[in-house]
Amino acid sequence: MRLPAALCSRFRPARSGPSAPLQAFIPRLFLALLPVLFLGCSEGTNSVFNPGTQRDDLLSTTPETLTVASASADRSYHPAFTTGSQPILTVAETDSSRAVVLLRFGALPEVAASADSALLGIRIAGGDGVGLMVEGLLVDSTSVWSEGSVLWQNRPDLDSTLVLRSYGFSPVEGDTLFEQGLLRIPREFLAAWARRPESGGLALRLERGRPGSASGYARILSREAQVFSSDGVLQHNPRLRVMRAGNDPVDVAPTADASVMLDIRAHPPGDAVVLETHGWMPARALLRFVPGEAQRIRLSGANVLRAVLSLDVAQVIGDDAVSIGVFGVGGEWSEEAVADSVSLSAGSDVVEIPTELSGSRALFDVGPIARRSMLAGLDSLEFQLRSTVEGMDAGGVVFHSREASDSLRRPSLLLIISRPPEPRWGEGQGQ
Amino acid sequence: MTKAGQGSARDAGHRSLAVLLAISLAAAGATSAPASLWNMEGLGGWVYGYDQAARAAGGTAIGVIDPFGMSPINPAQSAWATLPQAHFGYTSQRITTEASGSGSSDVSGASGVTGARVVIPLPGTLRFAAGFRSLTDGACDARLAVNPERGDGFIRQIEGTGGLNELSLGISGTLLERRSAAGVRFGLANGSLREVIEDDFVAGEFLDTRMVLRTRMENGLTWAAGVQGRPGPRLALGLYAAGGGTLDLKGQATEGTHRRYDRRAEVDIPEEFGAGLSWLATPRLRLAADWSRVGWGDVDITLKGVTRAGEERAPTRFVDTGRYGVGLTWLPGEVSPRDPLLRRSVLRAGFSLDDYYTPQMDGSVPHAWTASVGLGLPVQVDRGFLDLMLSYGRAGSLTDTGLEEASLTFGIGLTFGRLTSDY
Repeated sequence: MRLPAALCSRFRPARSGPSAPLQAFIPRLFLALLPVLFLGCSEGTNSVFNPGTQRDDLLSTTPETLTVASASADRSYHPAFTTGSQPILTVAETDSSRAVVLLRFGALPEVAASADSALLGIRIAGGDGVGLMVEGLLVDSTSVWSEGSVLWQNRPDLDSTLVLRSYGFSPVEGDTLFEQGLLRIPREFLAAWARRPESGGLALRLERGRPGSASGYARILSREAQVFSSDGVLQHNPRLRVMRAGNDPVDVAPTADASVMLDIRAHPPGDAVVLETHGWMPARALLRFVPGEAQRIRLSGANVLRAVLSLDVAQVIGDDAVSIGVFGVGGEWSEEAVADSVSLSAGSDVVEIPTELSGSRALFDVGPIARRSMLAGLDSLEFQLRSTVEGMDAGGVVFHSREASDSLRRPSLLLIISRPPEPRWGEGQGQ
Repeated sequence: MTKAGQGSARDAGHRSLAVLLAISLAAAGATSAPASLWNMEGLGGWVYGYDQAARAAGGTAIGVIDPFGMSPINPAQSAWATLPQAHFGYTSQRITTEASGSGSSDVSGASGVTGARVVIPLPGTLRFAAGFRSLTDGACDARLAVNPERGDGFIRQIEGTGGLNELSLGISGTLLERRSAAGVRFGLANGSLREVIEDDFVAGEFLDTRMVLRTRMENGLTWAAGVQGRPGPRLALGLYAAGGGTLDLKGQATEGTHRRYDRRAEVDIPEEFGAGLSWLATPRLRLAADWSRVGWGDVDITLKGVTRAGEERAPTRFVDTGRYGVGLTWLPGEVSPRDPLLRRSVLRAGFSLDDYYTPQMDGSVPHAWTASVGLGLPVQVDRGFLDLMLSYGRAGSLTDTGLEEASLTFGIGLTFGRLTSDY
């Protein structure tokens, strides 16, 4: 079939042109090369850039540095937290804090019904003070508490009747109080517990209110701590040894224990010390930086590339270096009050502060926290500092606050930011 | 050869073609990295409306009268279609880039759809055309060291995709007993340029960033009009003009889900006009030439919301561009369906010169040249063409613009006519 010439202008009667072999060879060559040539267009990354681009901000991006010279607010505080799962419990009575240990013995009423007396044994894990005396009170039988949620604010009511008092002692790690029989729970109270089987709780506190009573704290092992005797037998801490006439004594382990703590310090605005991590009660610090108007404008739309919190170390307490971690802050707080809801968010950096750093500045990398805050559109940058071994006697650090008389010793924040490139049509034309 | 044997040979030829095409497209599909650094400038690299067959012939179509011509540059060309037709274009590119001062060169690849188009004959001499094509190409790719000598130095990686696209409808028809044709096209220009910018800092204390820069281009109306005529039996001429209204621009920078900025502007769609001719030197040799000019120099940008008055006119640094293309097409001789497939093919070659509308910061304008060859393989003799295109070109120069790119480009154009079940 011959094609009508009018159908397609590409089909014309032949008068001249490449020879037939050539007419066939060129297309064959083209087709043969095609897959190879396509494969040659392999993916790659260009490491060359147009030196004369009109979008020179793609080439010459220079990070900017902003310094927020001083914090807008700072304070230290003792956080409210549960201790039910911790291996250490604390009884304390100081000018700044108070702590009570709660113990509950679930099996006590049945045993107490036939008991003559009982001895409470607690093992000391350290502390501070001379001539401390531990008092024991009954927990009100109508109060319900859980070691997973009990705080000072929701602690159970205590019976005002004193049921035991220790001898005066100075806390030495490894000492055991009471078990030697120096103090014992009177039989009438054991009988009372027997009459009220829903009860079974004891509260331990340091003696207070008596003129000359000692100030200090003692740390004791909780039921979560495992201590073995010299013959390899697991010992309960604390434990109640119940004596019955004509029978061997029975040891009863607590089914719940916790300590509840209260920060009774007065916190004037502008606390001169923003962080103390020494002592039995964990202390944390909160700092807030609010960039000024000009700084806020510069921060608007910028990326945080790096943020460094700089704190002046007033004192390192203890013989060893102290690890301090910095975290984001969740919840509201002010210099006057810190709500129990203030919590830690994701951490950013941990700095080991050696004793010789006193008088120098410690630098914390808070870039991730600052970036999250900026991305969340927050006007302020807030940080929380705490010891990484909080609750242990691991020394502490005291930093200068924003009220430091020497302005160079106040906390400061360094921000390094970058700006996104201009739009494709923009060259900084008034935008 | 028996009739059955001839049919078997044709089938084998078609199968080979299909396999080659599949391999090529699969290979091209696997190479999705973008390429040219000049696509970072302005609204992306300008794409002239040529199909792959016209590109192979040096980018010549304005004055070419061809029933299978699917180049949208001149709306009058579709008037010569005798069959309902559909066209699909695809290119894959390999670019070698050199920059002055850096003393290095690098290679990257690019691939993408260049356009799709249908032409449907209406009763009488009218033809309806609808299509989609890229007006600009924002595909780009770069990796550069910023502040390399400083403590805050970082590696910046930029990957750009997208571009401005046009969705258009047109009508054309032959006049004066098929001695001339005219056509118009109206379209809607929309698109988005997306650049992912990742900064990887060398020093560990700096936080890496990943930002997305998006330029939305919306609500642009385009038009084009063209004519073609045959003043003599072997000579054809063509003219076209095109333009549009304004294009709404929205520039957004985001990091994660956080919007860093959101800015608006308007930009004019440039006016474009050109002329072309084709001359059938012999019954099998067609020579063609095209000239086009795009008025980028008159394009202004209006910035929105930057002053109390609400907008501010901002001149651009764009410059007018010109394009020149010459090409030859070697048509098959007397053919019949029994002839081998390759003997029925069309050979093409061409050369073109082009400018970029985005000069360098020093004002130097990058110029480019491209040499191309191509092959048109008929589909069932008279029902379309598979057009293959290969081109090599260079753009810019190390001495004048500080940047030079060499590109090797492969294109595939599929044009099918008579889209009925008898395939």
